[in-house]
Amino acid sequence: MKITFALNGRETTWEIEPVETLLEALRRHGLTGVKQGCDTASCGVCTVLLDGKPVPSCAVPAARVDGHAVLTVEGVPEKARAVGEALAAEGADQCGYCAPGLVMSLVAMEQEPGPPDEDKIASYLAGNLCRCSGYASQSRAIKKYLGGKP
Amino acid sequence: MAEQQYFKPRSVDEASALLGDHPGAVIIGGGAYVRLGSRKITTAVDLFDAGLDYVRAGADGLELGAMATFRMLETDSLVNGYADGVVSRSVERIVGVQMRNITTVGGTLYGRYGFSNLITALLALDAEVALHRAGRMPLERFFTTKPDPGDILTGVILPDLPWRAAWRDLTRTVNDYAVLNTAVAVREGQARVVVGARPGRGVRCAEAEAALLAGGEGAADKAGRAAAAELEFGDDVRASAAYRRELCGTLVARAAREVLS
Amino acid sequence: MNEVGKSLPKIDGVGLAMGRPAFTDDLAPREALVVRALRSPHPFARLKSIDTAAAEAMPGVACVLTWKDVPRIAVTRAGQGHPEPSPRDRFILDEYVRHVGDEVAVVAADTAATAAAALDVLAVEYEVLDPVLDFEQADGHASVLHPEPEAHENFPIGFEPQRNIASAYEMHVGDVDKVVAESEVVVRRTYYTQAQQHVALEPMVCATWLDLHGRLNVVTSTQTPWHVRRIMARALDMPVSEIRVNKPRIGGGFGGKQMIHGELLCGLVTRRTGKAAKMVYSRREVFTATNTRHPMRMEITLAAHPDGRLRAIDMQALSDTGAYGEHALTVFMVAGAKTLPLYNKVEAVRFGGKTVYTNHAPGGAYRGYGAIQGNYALESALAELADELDLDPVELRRLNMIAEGETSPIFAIMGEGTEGVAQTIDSCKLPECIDRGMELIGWNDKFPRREAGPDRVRGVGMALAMQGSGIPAIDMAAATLKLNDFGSFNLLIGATDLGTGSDTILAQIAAEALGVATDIIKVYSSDTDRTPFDTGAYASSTTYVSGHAVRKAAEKMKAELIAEGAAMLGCDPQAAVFDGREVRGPGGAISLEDLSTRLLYSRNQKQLCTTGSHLCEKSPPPYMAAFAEVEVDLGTGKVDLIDYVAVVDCGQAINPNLARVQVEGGLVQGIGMALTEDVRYGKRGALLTRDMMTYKIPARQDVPRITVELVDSHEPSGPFGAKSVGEIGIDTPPAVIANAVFNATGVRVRDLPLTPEKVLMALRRTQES
Ligand SMILES: Cc1cc2nc3c(=O)[nH]c(=O)nc-3n(C[C@H](O)[C@H](O)[C@H](O)COP(=O)(O)OP(=O)(O)OC[C@H]3O[C@@H](n4cnc5c(N)ncnc54)[C@H](O)[C@@H]3O)c2cc1C
Ligand code: FES
Ligand code: FES
Repeated sequence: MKITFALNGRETTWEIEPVETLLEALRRHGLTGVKQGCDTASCGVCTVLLDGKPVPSCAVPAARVDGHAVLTVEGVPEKARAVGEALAAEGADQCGYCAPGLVMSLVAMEQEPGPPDEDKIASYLAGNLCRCSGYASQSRAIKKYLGGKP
Repeated sequence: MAEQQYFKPRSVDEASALLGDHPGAVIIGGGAYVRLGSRKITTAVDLFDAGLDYVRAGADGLELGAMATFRMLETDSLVNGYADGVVSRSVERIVGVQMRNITTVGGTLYGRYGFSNLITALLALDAEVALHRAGRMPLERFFTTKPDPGDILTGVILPDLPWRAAWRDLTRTVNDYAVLNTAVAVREGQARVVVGARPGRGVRCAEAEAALLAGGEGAADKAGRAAAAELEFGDDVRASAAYRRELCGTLVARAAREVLS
Repeated sequence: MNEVGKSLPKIDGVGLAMGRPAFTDDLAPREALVVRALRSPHPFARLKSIDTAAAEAMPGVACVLTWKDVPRIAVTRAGQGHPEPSPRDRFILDEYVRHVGDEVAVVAADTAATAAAALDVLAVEYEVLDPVLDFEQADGHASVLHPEPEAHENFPIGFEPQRNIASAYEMHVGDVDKVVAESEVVVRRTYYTQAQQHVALEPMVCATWLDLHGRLNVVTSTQTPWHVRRIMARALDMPVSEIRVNKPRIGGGFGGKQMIHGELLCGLVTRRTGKAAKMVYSRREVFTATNTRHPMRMEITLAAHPDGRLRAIDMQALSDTGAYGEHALTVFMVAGAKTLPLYNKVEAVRFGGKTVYTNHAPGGAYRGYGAIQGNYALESALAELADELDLDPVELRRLNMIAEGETSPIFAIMGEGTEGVAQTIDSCKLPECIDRGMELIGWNDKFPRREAGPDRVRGVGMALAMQGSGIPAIDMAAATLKLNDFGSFNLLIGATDLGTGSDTILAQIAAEALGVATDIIKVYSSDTDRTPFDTGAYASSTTYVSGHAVRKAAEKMKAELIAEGAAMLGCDPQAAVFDGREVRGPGGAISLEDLSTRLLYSRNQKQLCTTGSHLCEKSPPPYMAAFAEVEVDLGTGKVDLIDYVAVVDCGQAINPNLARVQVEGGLVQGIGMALTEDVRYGKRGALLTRDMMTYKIPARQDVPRITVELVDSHEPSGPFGAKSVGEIGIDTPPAVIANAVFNATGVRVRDLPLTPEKVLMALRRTQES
């Protein structure tokens, strides 16, 4: 079937399988920034924004996004670079497999009302698991990233 | 392989017509669980664009649309203001924001999941469900009637009642499924004690409610003991029945203490 | 030092965050066939028949393979040196399946959907056999997992398949029984550790294709490219020279990728079809069909003088290697070898036991590699001894622990699979680690417990740990430095960066030795065709062993630069120096940029290229003192970690940030093992924890305040004073947390993990008695 949607701000029409997940469709079309991790909406490495909200693309049917807007890490290169630099400055970028999903959650978090205090960061990013870093260095990096923004 | 089809109706009526035309079609709410099941889907009817993603004050109380997501329940001020925010508390730590942005009220109730936090919370508040065909009925009755695969759950109504309520659950990691969950609610002359993830679905416990209504010294602890004694518990990968029974006593007493204080 | 000791950013971090193609699946050929395995629903069965006709007839199916189609060559899938110390007890596919998830058959098709459909129509008849599900009953069980005549050990490891024994080991120093009998204080305890899953967020994934020469190219998420190549060559019955293995970025390993996973199946598909193929594990396959940490039973006896001086330690272990003996002996030995030397003043020490087969998913390498099992048992038992003697557990450690200038006979006796290598400890800052850790946690105020509100109590616990730095006399690594025009270098290393940052720190070491800035060193790593050899990223070897190889290559390069520079300047090389920017002689100087460019284009042209290789001769242990405060909910048994303090002696940290994150990440995996992670099986051998909803790793909010400090230390044998840091972090949490829970509640849980259920039920039992 065909779907037409806004992918990273550009109207896009794809031929997809009716039961395919958004994750599968994105990767099949070369958007490799979105990763496969758990297959069960549990880890956050496949996070993309659907109409501005972070969702696990492994649990979203690709057909659902017809007529909607999808943003992936490929659509936010400047933010991704800034987050990546902040992570690297703390040594928090270990294998980096979780990083694009983390970037997308941060992009969404910045749109949320209220100041991003420590609790909010921890709860907003709770769905972004990381097996390498132990989180502490990520938290240091994220605080610096948020603090250092204009 | 049968030809697969995916529909995104723009209204409940359109969805209902599609279900009528395609026996065996599967409704997609959040979709988080639909794919997890091993069954092969030939026809999917996705309610994403059907206009059910609302939380609003209605004539009879607070209305939660079937496609209202957990994230909406968690952040919406009406839901947070209702019954001490117990519905918000029940869902706010499940997995992560991403998952809560897709999982829905309708999918959770229709799935009748034993582990469900939301079901436990809603049962404690005398919630009613609205079904497209079968009409309105108390949530408790919905769970005792056989599910009609052709019907659509359109929403939940939380009657305007002055509940004081509290939530307790225990999880292994912060964002895990509950080993056990409980919601306790009281108002003038009424008490509700619901325990879920036993691992069976949330159920009310009459003796515990009676203990709360009787009041007096140690009412909360009595309610906890009554719930532990009366309810059935089972084993699963998260815990044993024996532990759940112990836990039930503690969590119900703690929730009860909070609402009585 | 200029480049070493600096927290430089990891060289690949930004590109990874931007989602640039870097991981195996990102790089696999677009047209690759999708390879999927049919997996056993039974823990133990013989395949009576497999009807592949319907699958083969499906359009889009390129091939279907069963055990009848594969070479009958026994291999191990453990990524270890040659010959492997693990039994060769596996075939690419076999007539028997030995755990739920074991491979029955494999299909390759043009799409994932076709492959899935083809799996659905494979008709298999199983002869279901009686499984061995309890590892304490495995020895002598009526069912024998490996009766096949081809299964063998490469050298004596105690392999006795007819008794379901994969390996056995015994050692002793002194007469333990006699010393125990004479001792006034004896503590005897039994502890159990569970299977733990690595849960690297990138699943196992590999891709294969034939290049224009017809050679088999493999890109795979592995920690050991050379071992993969060698074992593939054996299994596929082809020359090593016809295979190239390349590891791109990998999404976490932790030992889980020190095993062969899809490579054999994928490689076979490519050989049979001539087409590119790829195999991406689903998370469920990662859980059911890859490896776990070996569960163990540890029986410990400690004998001591009443003043706390230890007289004897006896550690008898039983390890469960599941269906295959991957890393069976070596993990087992490390449980003793990397714990017992900590307490080197005993009169007698004994260690032994066996590793048995069961019909569970196979055991394998996992960060800590036995040391965490041994550490939990030994450090718990020491806490129990301290309690019995009414001694502060810190004092008990101080009385007995190893110190600089000392040794332990165990270093010489126990290696990994073989004898060890004697060594004297030249760097051991345990006293400093302990003092600083006590200060950071507030030990003197908090030990042993304090109330924390109604139904809540807090307690503190501690433990020490050691690990190694590479496997002495076995681990070898090599590095090549190549000078480019306009003054940059390529550093070609076999070392395998798992996300640990080793590419970065090895570049720092090269830069330090050359005296240049790190950013002119361009790293290319882990490619069996294009980089020199390295045994792989395991056993905490990369900084210490590969780091030395890099240092040697860089020192040679520096000498050559000086020689060539002096030649161009027309001066005596003895009189010339290279300061990182230019070669300077008495009469003038030439910049690196000019020198390198002239060397390639205009004068006395030649390629400067130096190689260093290093064999690990000793394995200096890094050390840690760890402390934690926990809060226990007496109504639910839930243990909340409040504070974790780890003070580490890893020698000179090449990159302090990356070293610290290694420890932090290791701690959190150890915390997961201590509290929540638990591979569980049903009564009939099915895996119950087969997704991330049932198997719970710590999430962000589960992790308390963690304080990691590195003490000043310098290991004379290490590159620029470095030891290792990759594994030590994981070792302490199980013991530290169990000890803290005991101090808080008086309840001692001797089997991991410390779930709320176990703690509460134990509390209830003590309340009753
Ligand atoms: C990783 C993960 C972790 C989870 N953890 C928890 C937890 O800790 N606690 C907890 O309480 N829950 C948890 N859940 C469950 C979750 O909260 C939802 O209950 C579940 O995902 C179902 O919601 P859904 O909207 O995704 O439903 P779907 O998957 O879309 O649907 C579920 C079922 O309901 C039917 N259906 C959906 N909508 C309707 C409708 N409007 N009318 C009629 N039928 C309908 C579908 O056909 C399907 O049979 C978890 C889920 C996941 C994936
Ligand atoms: S792969 Fe989607 S959340 Fe893990
Ligand atoms: S850096 Fe590896 S999972 Fe986060």
